[in-house]
Amino acid sequence: MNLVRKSLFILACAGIVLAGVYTSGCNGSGKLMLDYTQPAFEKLSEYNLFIGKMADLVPNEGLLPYDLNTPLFSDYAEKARFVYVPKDAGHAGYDSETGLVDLPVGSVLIKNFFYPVDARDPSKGRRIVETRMLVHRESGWDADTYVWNADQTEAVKEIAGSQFPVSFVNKDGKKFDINYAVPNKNQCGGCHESAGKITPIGPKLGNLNKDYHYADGLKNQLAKWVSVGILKELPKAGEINTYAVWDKPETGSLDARARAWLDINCAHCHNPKGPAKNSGLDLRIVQQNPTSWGVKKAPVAAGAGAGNKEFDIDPGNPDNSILLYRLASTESEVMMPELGRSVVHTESVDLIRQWITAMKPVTAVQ
Amino acid sequence: MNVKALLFASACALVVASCNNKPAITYINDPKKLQEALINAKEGDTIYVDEGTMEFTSSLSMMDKKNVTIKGKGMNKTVLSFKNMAKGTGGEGLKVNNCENVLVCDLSLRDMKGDGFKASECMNITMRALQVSWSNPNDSTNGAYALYPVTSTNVIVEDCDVSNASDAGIYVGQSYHAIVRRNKVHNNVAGIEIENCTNVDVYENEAYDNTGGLLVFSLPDIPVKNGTGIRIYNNKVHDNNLANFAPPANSVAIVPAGTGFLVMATPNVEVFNNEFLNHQTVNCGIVTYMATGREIKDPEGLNKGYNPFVWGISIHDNKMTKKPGLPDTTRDLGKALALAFKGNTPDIAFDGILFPGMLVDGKLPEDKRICIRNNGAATFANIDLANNMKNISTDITLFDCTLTAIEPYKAADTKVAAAPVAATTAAPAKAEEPKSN
Repeated sequence: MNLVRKSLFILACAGIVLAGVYTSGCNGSGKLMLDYTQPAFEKLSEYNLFIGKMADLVPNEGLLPYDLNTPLFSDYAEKARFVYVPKDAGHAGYDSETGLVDLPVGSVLIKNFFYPVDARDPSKGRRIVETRMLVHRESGWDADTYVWNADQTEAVKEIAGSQFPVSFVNKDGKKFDINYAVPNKNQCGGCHESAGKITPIGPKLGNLNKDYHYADGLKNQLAKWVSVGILKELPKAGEINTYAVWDKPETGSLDARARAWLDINCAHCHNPKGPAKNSGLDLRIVQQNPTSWGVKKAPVAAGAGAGNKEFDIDPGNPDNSILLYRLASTESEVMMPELGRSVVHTESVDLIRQWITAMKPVTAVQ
Repeated sequence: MNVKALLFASACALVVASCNNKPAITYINDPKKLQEALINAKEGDTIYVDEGTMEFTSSLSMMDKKNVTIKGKGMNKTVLSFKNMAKGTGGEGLKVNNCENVLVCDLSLRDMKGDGFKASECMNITMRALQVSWSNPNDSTNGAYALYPVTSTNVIVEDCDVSNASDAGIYVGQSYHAIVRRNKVHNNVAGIEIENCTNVDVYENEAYDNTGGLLVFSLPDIPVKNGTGIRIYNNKVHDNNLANFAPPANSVAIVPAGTGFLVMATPNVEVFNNEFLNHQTVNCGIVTYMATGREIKDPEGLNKGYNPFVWGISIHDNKMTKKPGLPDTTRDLGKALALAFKGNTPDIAFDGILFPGMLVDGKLPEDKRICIRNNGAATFANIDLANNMKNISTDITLFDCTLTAIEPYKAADTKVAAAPVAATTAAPAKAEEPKSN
């Protein structure tokens, strides 16, 4: 190699390095790069989801934040959710039974998982662990997840799953040291599959029906979704079965809060088309048959998960109820949900215990 | 040789090496790489798994694939161990969902928190030469099922060795068209259990040292209703006298130790040319779901949904010997037999409960009878469970008949959809405008 060629080579390398520095240093300065026809990027920064410092999670133009009345419990992780619907994609429909919003092809749902270092003191900051994306491609919804680095400057696509320790203090001052589990791509499907296809879980009309503090003021989320064109018009009265906020008694009865919590935490598998349909247990909020949602229902394939309990729900007798036993366990062969939880959510276990205790004992259903 | 010639020779060597028609096989020996391979698998791929023990901290899974083989170097060489599985990462060892034409063979799965290998919603799934087990025998915290194909079509489980499952070693559930053959199943609560399945052949298996050897059950309150069309033949079922260690609520918890074969609430089952040897409670039991003493709450009712009765059962040309001594009185079925027969329980017992809706002149029609013939000196009892065992009859001649042979296994061309699921009523519409400020 002569000198000229050698120096050109060095320059080229330097160029590559500079280019790398340039992109990573300019997070969020570009346009949103959400193109459903393209395969998933390796790095989260490539999508330009957030403007300014990536870890601030300030949405780029086109992303709309949203929240749910009752969310899925994920080891106390907090979540920042965003929805994207391309301008020309048309309006979303919704399932007449469950109210699940049917977002058009090209839409993307983004969910960021983070832990405040100390929930009592926001000034101590937070650690973002994961950003999960559901992209509605021509072939259906596709799931990917990105794991954030320690510096909180980038997140990298993870398909085979991983685990790492996370420590945090909750709002009661209790310290947790958990082994956070990032799902592999198949495990995403483990929750998001319905009738063999990946599908969103959270955005149901009834669960979205709440006010949200947008950058331009407080507004009902469904009204906002209409104003930005995601929904064509507000669903008619009676089409929305508003979910209670599971931990706010003023939003609904004990029954309403328990059923809302079970719907969002269990019914993604336990529904007639979901991965746990073979159990015959249907925990959707729309299920009206008590046996179907567990009352005096004997287990089918629960294995050790049944403990020495007789029924999924034994009214008035929480300690003979498999459902409560599995929610209160952290043993892999017993615990429910199977994925995304390694500690007991004591607050919701209390709710379900109260709910079962308050049920009138029955000897036979129907 | 000059430099040029040397270069030329090396180039040739490279060409030769790379022109071999068979691409070099890559054996995966890293858990994460194996999971990645299962996610990235293309149609027609074979994924080879290296020998040695691989430790997994999470469940291994494959979804939505066609024509994929996962192959180890042999069941005692390639070992996938799940004893260090982290919490919240799933219970199963290997999980295959919604796949077509999948073969998994020649490896071991050990010490899962939950089931060993679960395959659901699959078409043409074969489990071959797999060893699946847990290190602690008789432990109710072991996974429920070692091999667990469910809600699938065209299932083959063959040449496997499964043990120490806290429910069933091989459990085929809510599936259509299955073969279970040449397996060795031992030290489980149930050796092989066929539950709510249609068109299944179970043959040439050896089931020993389980609580119950072979079970054919149909359970209520699940999407797929009763199974039918099951053939059990040429099996060697012996010494299944292990104390039942299943968690009490499980359906197999009702099975008394010392049970060779038990059919419950499943019509059209043919049991022939088997050996049932050395069982302390019963060699062949025929029972309705009523024998469990459990409630049926199937929302669809008896007409469209689940039927708790049995009919069309033929037990012929089997060899049976009993283990002397008392039956297992820790379970109701064993207790009932002990009350009536002490230590001299019959080889074959029927709970005697007939489906009233099917009776003509108080009897099952000819083609739907319970038939027992040519089982050597096997003894029999109708224990009249419906009337608290008041009229126990040991007259085997009342059951001396034959039925048309059950159709053998026939693969389906397309995936059989599960029976329609009970319709749900939408929540009462609550007139409510979206809240807004």
